[in-house]
Amino acid sequence: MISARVRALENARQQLGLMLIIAIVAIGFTLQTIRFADAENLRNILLQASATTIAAIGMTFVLAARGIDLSVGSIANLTIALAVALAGTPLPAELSTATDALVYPVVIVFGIVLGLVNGALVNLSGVSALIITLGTLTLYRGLALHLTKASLIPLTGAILSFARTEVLGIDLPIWSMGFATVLGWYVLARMPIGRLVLAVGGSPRSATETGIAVWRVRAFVFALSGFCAAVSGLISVGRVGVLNSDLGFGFEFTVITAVALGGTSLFGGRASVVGTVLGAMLLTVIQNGLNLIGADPYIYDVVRGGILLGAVSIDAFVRGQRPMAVQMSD
Amino acid sequence: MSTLPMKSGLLGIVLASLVATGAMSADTTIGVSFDKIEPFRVAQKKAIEDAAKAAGVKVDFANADKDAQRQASQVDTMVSNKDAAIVAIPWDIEAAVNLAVTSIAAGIPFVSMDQAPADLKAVTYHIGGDPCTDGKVAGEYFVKAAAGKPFKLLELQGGLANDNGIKRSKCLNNAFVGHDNIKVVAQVPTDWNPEKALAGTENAMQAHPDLNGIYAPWNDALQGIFPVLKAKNVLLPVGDPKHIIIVSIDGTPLGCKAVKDRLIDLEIATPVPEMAKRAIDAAVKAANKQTISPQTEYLPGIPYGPDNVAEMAPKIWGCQS
Amino acid sequence: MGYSAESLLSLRQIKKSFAGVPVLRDVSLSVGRGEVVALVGENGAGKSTLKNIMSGLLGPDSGEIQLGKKVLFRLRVEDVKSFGIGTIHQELSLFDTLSVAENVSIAELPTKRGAVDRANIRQTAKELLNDLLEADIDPDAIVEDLSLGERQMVEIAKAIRISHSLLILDEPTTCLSIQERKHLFAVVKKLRSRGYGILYISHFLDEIYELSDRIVVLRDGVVVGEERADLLPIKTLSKLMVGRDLDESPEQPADLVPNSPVILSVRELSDASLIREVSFDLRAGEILGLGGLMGAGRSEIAEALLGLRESEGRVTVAGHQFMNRSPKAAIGRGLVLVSEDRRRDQAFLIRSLGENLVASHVRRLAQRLTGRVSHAAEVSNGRQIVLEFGVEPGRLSNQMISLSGGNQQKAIVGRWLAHKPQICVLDEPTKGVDIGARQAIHALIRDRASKGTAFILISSDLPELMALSHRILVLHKGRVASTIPRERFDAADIVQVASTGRLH
Repeated sequence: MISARVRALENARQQLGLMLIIAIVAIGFTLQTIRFADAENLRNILLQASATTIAAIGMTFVLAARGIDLSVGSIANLTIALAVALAGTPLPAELSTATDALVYPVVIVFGIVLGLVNGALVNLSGVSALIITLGTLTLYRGLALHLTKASLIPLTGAILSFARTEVLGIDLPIWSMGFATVLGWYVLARMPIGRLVLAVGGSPRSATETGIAVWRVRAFVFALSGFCAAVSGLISVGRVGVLNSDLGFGFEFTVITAVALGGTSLFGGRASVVGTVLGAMLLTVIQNGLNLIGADPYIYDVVRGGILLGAVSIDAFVRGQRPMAVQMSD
Repeated sequence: MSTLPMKSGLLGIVLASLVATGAMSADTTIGVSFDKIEPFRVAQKKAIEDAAKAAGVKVDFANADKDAQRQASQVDTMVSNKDAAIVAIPWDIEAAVNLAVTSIAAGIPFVSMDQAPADLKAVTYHIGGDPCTDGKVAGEYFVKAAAGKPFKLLELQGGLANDNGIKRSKCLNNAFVGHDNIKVVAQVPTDWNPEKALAGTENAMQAHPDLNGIYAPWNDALQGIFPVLKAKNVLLPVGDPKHIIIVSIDGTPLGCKAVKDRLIDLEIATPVPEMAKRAIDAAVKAANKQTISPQTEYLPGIPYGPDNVAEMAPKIWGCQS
Repeated sequence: MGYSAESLLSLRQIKKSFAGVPVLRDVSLSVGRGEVVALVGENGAGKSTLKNIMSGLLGPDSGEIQLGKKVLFRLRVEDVKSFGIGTIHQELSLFDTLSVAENVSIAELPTKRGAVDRANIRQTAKELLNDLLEADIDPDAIVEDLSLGERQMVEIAKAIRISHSLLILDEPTTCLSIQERKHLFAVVKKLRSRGYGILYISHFLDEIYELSDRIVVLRDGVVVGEERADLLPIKTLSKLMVGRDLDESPEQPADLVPNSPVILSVRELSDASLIREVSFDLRAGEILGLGGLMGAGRSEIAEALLGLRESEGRVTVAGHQFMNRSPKAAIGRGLVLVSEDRRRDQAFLIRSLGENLVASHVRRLAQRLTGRVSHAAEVSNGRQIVLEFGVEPGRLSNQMISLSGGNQQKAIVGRWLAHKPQICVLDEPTKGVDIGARQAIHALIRDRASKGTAFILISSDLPELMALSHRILVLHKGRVASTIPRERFDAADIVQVASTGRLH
């Protein structure tokens, strides 16, 4: 039997490995330009990582429960479009503060509702989440296009404040990211629902036999992912200041990459919120650093691909010693 | 239900337009497949509808939504519907060649618009913007503005894999040959995404706070640029000593407003109505088996700035609204 | 006790069909307070379906269920929970990535200020595993790091945790060592004395007789017999189960050909963690049993021979030293392993039976057919294996997972023997299979041995080990504690050596 302590150390080692890679990459960029390493750039990195990180924390729960949510970008887009259509008004002149404040409940509620629709479809149809959310990816996006008529909507008022408010000198998106990290970690690692998510993802059959309400756990993870996607939509739209039809396009790839990089299994049952956050950080640091050093645009994908492969290989190396040991008993 | 009056009404229109257009009947339908829907494309769609109305034909519109597969099936449907001709803005420039070949083989002319397919000879007619000239004009503007002094430029790039993105970048940089005072400090790939333009501008300004100019090769990039400049307190009108020189391409309402607000120095507007008119006219001509010459045309953009926006506005589609 | 016991759960006239095929036809069964009811029957008799209905996983097509004083059409998860029915599933309903303590309490995680009360579940796991079941398992260990035997103990603890009235045990001992089994039996008896009702499903008739008060025999979806255990002779029971007389003649392996050649020679095999200087010879046609407790190093020796585990020492196959061992190289030398956890390692469960039968065979066949696998050859080969080894239902297109455990096992053993190996290592070849399949596999092993194949047989099932082996190596803590020839086989001796390392 492998002792619990060895196991805990091993999990920590995986995250340490990711931290090490981030550190190496960061040192590499700092050697190129000292401006990578100042406080202002740290703020840039955290701000630029916030939307991805928050959506990725939601995605971590979905993957942990052996699901996947491809519709995150579309949820971000549609919830903002709904907020603009229902509560906000695009033109400053017509803006009334009474409805303006409604944008937050609208975004949050619809984020959860759209997530629940995903969950309900997966539960009721028995079709894989991949197919269902591929469908809602298109559906939600189509609805958003319909609402906005694909036009560019300049935004003002409350809907932008979320991304543009500072609390104690730190931007609200950064606070939210920190809050989501701590809360996500706590829910997954400490709360019963987190354990049930891993149980359902680890073995749906065992979960059913144990009397766990699998459908409820699935609904929870998709609702959570929808909520997180909506919040990340608020951040993106707040930063850019306009709603355009491109908002959230291809977002799912970045998000899933961050989660997978963090060591969460794409096949369920194994997940790490801290790993996800580190994964999102690594992606952002690479992008930020390449921008900073004025890298050749054609080299971006090469560097990104290379570092990702490196990270995954190191992870595989850390885990590689395991299979032999599994059978051992004492 | 009052279908009868409506039917007779329709009949009236049909008859009237038959008389009006002579050879071309109003039930002639031209299939139109767009690569995606965004504000610029909405304007193009409207221009196509206007041009079709003027030519007395109907359009059957489809949106491929950035999916080559979807565009292929849309074109297939148009072919099997026996549309008179097809006008397409290709999403995948390679796949578009096959679409043109199959469509033309079925006897249906294929006109590509805006985005050039990989092989221009495959299509019946292509009408596009002139991304190289646009890039060159932008480059020359920066050269002139720098006036021989050191000049740090941030270049945002659209797509690295499509014609407009590549040529708007390449011809910009060609204009800098021999002007070593112009230094492109960063080329930031954005995939035409305003959020990436925002992060890219943020990061480039972190590395180079003394930036002199920004090249925004499509108007939506301005959404990403302005919040950063504002946060750094350098979103200043043209003429202010600390103003950062910005040149953009497209001519959307967003671009026109930025020019009117004196926030950008030069905008190069794509002549959308003209492009749509030529595409529809060529499609109608080809459907009538008339030859089209030249087979390929490029329309350079119309440059305008804060000082002449008032007089140029009637020619700029984005200044109409 | 027995019939007069106060009924906890009664099923009356239960019928259940799958896709029109009746699996249960009119079954009535009741389990009372303070009694152990054994449910026996061959695979395919309907035991699993009955178990699933009793644990709330399935609803019957018709019939009624009385739970305490409530009469229901079907049990729901909530009924099972509130009434306190715990089930030990043969295929273990555990969560590999969670800790032992979390697994034990997963159905009802206690909380403290919103978080899982970890001290509490650790304590619960300790009480159930360490104190009640006397298993030395760390509550903080992750389940995937446990051996199969340990996992089974966790499964048992998990079921007991839920249960406060009725405990259903479906083949709970297949992975347990003799010692662990003893503890489990003591626990079952203790629970019975506390008033629990227990439904015990097993293929091991000795266990049935040791534990049960009443035996219910199921065959083809019908209860064919129900009797107090002390009034039902084993011969009658066997007859009821299979519907025919079992061959009662003592199982004997064919005599070894005198001076048959040594085909495998192992000298001072050691590994970093467990195996210590193991040496033995294996002769052609010989069946060598490896006995010992769980964790004594039996499976580990098999893995070391195949190169699945790093080891030192000398291994000679047919006179040639076998270095740089790997499963692939081993197959090349005619050495194959049919390993313990067939489901995880061997069968591609969602693929068809036909594909499974030829999975390991394909390469050889392919080479012979000039690089191309013809479908006809695949089919004919598979069909041959089906016939030879009596796999039922033998339709090659059936998915593996739809076969019963016994037939899966027959298919897998058959797949490897189809290689005509010189040496075959069988790790728990009849774990969890019914009597018919067990006999078929035994007959197959004896037949192949008489034709010259040498076997290393690893089994926790002592009667099986004694019935089949020419010789038994008893292992204790990674060493060969004793080598016992057939004429000196004695169950008590073997148990003693296995548990203490020597014979007093």
